[in-house]
Amino acid sequence: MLRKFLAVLLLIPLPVLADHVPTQPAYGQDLTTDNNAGTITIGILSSDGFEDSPPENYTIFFSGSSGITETNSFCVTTSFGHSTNNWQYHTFSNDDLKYYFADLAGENFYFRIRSNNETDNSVSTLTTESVYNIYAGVAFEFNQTDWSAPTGTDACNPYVVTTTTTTTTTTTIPPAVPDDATNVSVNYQGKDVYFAWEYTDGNTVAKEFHINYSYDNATWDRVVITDTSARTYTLDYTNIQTGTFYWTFSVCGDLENGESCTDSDSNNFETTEYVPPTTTTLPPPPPPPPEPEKVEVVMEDGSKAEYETYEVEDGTVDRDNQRKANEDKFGCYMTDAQIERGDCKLPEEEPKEEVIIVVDEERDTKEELPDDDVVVPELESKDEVKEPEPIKEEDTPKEEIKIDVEKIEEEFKFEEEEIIFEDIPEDIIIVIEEEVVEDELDKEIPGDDIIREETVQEEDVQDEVVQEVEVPKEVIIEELTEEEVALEVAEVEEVIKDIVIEEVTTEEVIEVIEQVNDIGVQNLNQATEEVKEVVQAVVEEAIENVEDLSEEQVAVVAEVLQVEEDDVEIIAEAVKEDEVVAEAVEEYVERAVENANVENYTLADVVTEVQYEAFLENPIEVLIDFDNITEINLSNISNDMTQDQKEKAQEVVVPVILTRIASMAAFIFRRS
Amino acid sequence: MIKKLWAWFVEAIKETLNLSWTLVGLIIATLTLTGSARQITGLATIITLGIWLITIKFRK
Repeated sequence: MLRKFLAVLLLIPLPVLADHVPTQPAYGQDLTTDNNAGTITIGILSSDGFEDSPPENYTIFFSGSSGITETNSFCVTTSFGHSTNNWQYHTFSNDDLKYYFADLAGENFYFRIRSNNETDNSVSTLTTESVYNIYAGVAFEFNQTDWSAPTGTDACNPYVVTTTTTTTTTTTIPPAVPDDATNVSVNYQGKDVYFAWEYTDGNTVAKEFHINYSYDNATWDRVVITDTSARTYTLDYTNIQTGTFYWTFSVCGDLENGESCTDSDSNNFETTEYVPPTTTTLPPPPPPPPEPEKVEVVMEDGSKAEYETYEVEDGTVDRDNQRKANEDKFGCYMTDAQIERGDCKLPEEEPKEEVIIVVDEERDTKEELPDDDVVVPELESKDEVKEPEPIKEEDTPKEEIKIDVEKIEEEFKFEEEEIIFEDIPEDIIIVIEEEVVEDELDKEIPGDDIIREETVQEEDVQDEVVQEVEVPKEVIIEELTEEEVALEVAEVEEVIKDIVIEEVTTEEVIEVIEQVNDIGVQNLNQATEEVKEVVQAVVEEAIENVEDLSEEQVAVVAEVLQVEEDDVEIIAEAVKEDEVVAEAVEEYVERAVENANVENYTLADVVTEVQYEAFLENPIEVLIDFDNITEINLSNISNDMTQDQKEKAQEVVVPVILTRIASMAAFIFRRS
Repeated sequence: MIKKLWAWFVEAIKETLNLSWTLVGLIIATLTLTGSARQITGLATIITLGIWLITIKFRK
């Protein structure tokens, strides 16, 4: 019998079936953040449901400080209620968090959860406090300066804890407030401001009227009208400024005895400071300056012109003579100095790659050339060197020019600073007159370096013999000294300073690449990482938009990649189809800088390097990468390779074949 | 049959080893090329190697 009783007791799990409490707290809680969106999500695990009043919702109490209670923290109530043993989530949006916290990045977020059953007026105890250190990222860096913490927990809805309380009501009689004035009107006609109102005493007798006015809505001036029978007031124009005129009209009771004012009306409007007209006797105007004395000058071409004295003295007449002569000669209305500087663009025949300085030591040009240097940009066909157009000696007297150049240099200082090497075509003949036949150019003119250009020109001013020297570009780059490289790098950095890659224009791209070409991409090792990155991005941008570039711009891009001009388009196409080439272009600048000591390091070398790296990483995949094999046309095979790439490949393929033939021959020889 | 296949397999490895330097050269050549030329060279190398190995007995 006893055994049966015990068995029955064991069979019926009475404690299990019992409710735990009327409303159980959540069984679990967690917190996750979205560090990009800057949101916080609180997970709530509902109870097993064995309770009389399962939660209709949950209240999350949270704070940036520990020790959370229902009254010292913020709280929100969830939109969801009980769901047996299930996780449900409440998300704080970024805006929500900004409302509660001035800044959350790297801060602790403490929270506890309470289960609510409003219907049964039942709530659970609060869960154990959890803490989570918020990611110190941008999304949580609110940095709110104009922020104040919300107060109280009244925002929690429903806040269901109700207790029986005895309310003691203390009635405080509010201070007497006079009735409002009515029909308050303000009239402004550009001078005074007229106020008018109606008022009838009510329960409280008005003791004074107040007109408050302000021009910043913060600092107020007050006019107190103690005559309560008055119904108008004129605010004198001396109080009126230019701006927005804010005003309020109040009726006040006996302020000394605790009565207060009532604001009857308020508004604002624009006013302008009134300036009363003044009668002033103006002094007689000063006599006009005497007409400058003009001198009639006979110009070199025989014509007469009027000049002021100072114009004769400062060389204006001489310069005008030069301008006229040069207009007849070159079609450019410019002074000799401007012509020397290359400002006069003569018509180009066809652009060339190489800089040619023609030296003709044998010819005696003393008779046919002037004493001063004339740098004439001129385009020549490959096999033909045009002789410089003879310039008559009397057109440009030696002494006069010297004086004029100095003056003009002073006068046109700004223009000189703007000398840009772009103005000099890539193929130029520098015709230099020399007195000493053996004299040679001791320095080339790399890029648009003004200093060097000036130096060279100054040194060669006295030369009288025409020189023609062919100078390959590579030599120019190699000859840059460390100081020159540093100077060029500084120029590149200056150009790059204002460039935003996302908004870069074609002109900016070309400008940067031209600067890089001046120094040589491999010399960028002296530049900062940021500069290299920008240059790299600019090169990629140029390749991506090659169809938008003019021929000259393509030539600039070709130079930086050290390929032929025609190859730029091939590279642009290859970038779209071949990942290896795309990667090579992406890494070109970086690798070129790393291989600064390698001679003739080009994009083809980068392509090969990238392919080798890919091969070492995954040899089989690289060797059997025949994605577009069916689209290949054998008639134009290798047309998608740059000339440089072909040459580099030949350097490898030919020796391989020759070596194989040699080894076969050796084998046959040994057998025989 | 399996014995024959095994014998061919061993022979193929020997032949491939004989071609080591050539294959190295061809792989290097392939890697210096880009675009269609690379694909054609790679494919030609693999096909030729396959034919070379299949025709071992025939060539002997």
